[in-house]
Amino acid sequence: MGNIDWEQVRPRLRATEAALEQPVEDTPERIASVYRERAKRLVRPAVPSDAGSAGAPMLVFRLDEGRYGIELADVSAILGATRYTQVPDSEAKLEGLINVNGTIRPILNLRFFLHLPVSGKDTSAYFLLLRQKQRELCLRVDEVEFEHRMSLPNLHIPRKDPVTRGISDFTSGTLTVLDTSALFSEFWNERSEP
Amino acid sequence: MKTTVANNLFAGFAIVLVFTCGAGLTSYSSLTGLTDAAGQRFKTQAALQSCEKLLLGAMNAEMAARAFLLTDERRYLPSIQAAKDSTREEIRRLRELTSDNAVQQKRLDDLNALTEDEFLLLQSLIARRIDRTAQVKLISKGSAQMDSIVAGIGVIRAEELALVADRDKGANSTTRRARDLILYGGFLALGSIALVSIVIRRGLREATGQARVTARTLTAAVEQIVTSTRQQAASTGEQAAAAVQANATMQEISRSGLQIASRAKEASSMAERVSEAGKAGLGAVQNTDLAMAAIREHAEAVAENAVSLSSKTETVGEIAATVNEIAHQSHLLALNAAIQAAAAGEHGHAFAVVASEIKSLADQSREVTVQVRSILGDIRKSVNKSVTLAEEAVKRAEFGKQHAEVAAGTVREIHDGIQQSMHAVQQIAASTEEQQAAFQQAAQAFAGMGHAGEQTAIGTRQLASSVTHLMTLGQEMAQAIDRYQV
Repeated sequence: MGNIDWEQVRPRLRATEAALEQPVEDTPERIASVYRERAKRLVRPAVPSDAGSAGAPMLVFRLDEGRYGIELADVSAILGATRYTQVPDSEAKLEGLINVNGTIRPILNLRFFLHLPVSGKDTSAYFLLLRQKQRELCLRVDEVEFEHRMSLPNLHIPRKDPVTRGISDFTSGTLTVLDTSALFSEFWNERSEP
Repeated sequence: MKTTVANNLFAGFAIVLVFTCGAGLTSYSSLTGLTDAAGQRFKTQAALQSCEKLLLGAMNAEMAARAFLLTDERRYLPSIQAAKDSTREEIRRLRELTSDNAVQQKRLDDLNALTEDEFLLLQSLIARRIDRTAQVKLISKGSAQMDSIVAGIGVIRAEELALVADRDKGANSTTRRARDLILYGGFLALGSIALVSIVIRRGLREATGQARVTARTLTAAVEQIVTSTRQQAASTGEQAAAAVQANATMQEISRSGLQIASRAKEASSMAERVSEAGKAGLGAVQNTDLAMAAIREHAEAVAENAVSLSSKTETVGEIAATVNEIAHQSHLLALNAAIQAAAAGEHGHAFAVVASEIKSLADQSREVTVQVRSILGDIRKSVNKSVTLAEEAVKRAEFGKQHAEVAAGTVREIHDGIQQSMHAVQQIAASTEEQQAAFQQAAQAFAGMGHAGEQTAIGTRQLASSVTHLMTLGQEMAQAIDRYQV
């Protein structure tokens, strides 16, 4: 055990005491800064005139070790950690059923469609409620990171998988963009003929 | 009883002497008896002769008187007087010779009276003859008295003859007894001498044999004594040399003793200083004990504070978890708000901005709560470690306190031991000084021993020479004994 420099410890303790004595509310300067930042964002146009060049807003989430994106417009709501019910002897694509505000919705087994191995641990904390053509289904994901605007034609490596649109660069990794329509079609076996 | 040659000789000669003396005494007694008997016989013979002479004198007086009376010749008168004197003399002599015989003395008195009457009668007749008046009848009276005198003398003579016969008989008996005693006593003495000679010879032979064995044993012993004496002489010389060396050693020890005394004094001074240091150490250990107790109390206080802090940390963790949950819900709410804003299109732009801020705050809150939880985890680890360390500190303080107590006891024992050592060293110093004096005395004693050893060596050599001479004498005595055959 090393020697303690009490001359350094005492100022730290005094500083800690002083910090604890400070008020919890933000300072007026902090509030003013937030307002200025908000104003800057508000003055920017909500939807760019050229939506194609700016890209569509994407909701980015994580499942296992992968990062995936889905168009924000297809997301009806994000649910927190909620109990769901597994259905015995059901198809592999159906992970279970969930009660959303009194309505039972199916949970799509995304790992089945993405051919991901079944995870031994249940770390999922969010359910994405997708809606398309008056139908809704849920995706069970691990983490939701927020929206990201992405130009869909700029996907680098289109995947042959029917539920994905392709793979794009994303910060320090890659992002697999899912096709919401394909998910609904595959789930309800509405695969269109080519 | 163990008999010796001298005793045997004495006993033998004593026996011979007893027998010889017995024979001599017996012979002497017999000879004395014979001598007495001879003397008595001589006296009796003399008495008989006196009786004869007395009878002859009386008869001569009567015959002369008768002759004068008959012849009236005066020439017979002297014979009468001579006869009378002779008679009286013989009576006196007989009295002397028979003085040990009262009967004879009585008879002599009677005879003396008769003779005196006879002499008076004769004197009267003679006187009357001279006066011519005497008668023949008076003469016949005188004759009768004369017969009485003769008869009396005859009785006395017969008595003496009987005595002679008895004494001859006794003398013969005594002579035979003396002869037998001399003869048998001589034989007995010779036998005793022979027996004593045999006994003495046997005793002398045994004594000679024992003397021979003793002489040989003595010679061997003397040889051993010679050997031992030579060895003793050598040992005495070595002892003298050892005494000299011991003297030198004692002097060295004395010098060492001086050094020891000096070192003992130094050690005593050192022990005093160590004793003072021990007192100080004892005080320090007691202070350490108190300090350990204080440390233990402080460590327990630290542990209590750490436990309290851990409890508060848990509370803070719970708060942080609540904050995290709120942030999570805020994050979720912001996401849904953003979705709704996106669904609202341009009209939801402002709402999307606010939702974005809410999400940012929620994310910050989550990050902060993550940091807080991480910090709380670190704090909890630190607190747990502090509690563990405090517990360990308490244990170590207790351990240290116990060790301090043990150390105090040990230091106290050391202090006591130092005190005892100091006393011991002081005693050693004092003893060393006394020992020094003793060493000097011992050195002097060893010097005396060396001198005495030299003298002893000289005496031992002289003794060896004397013993050698004694051995030679022993050998010569053994040879002499061998030559002496019994």
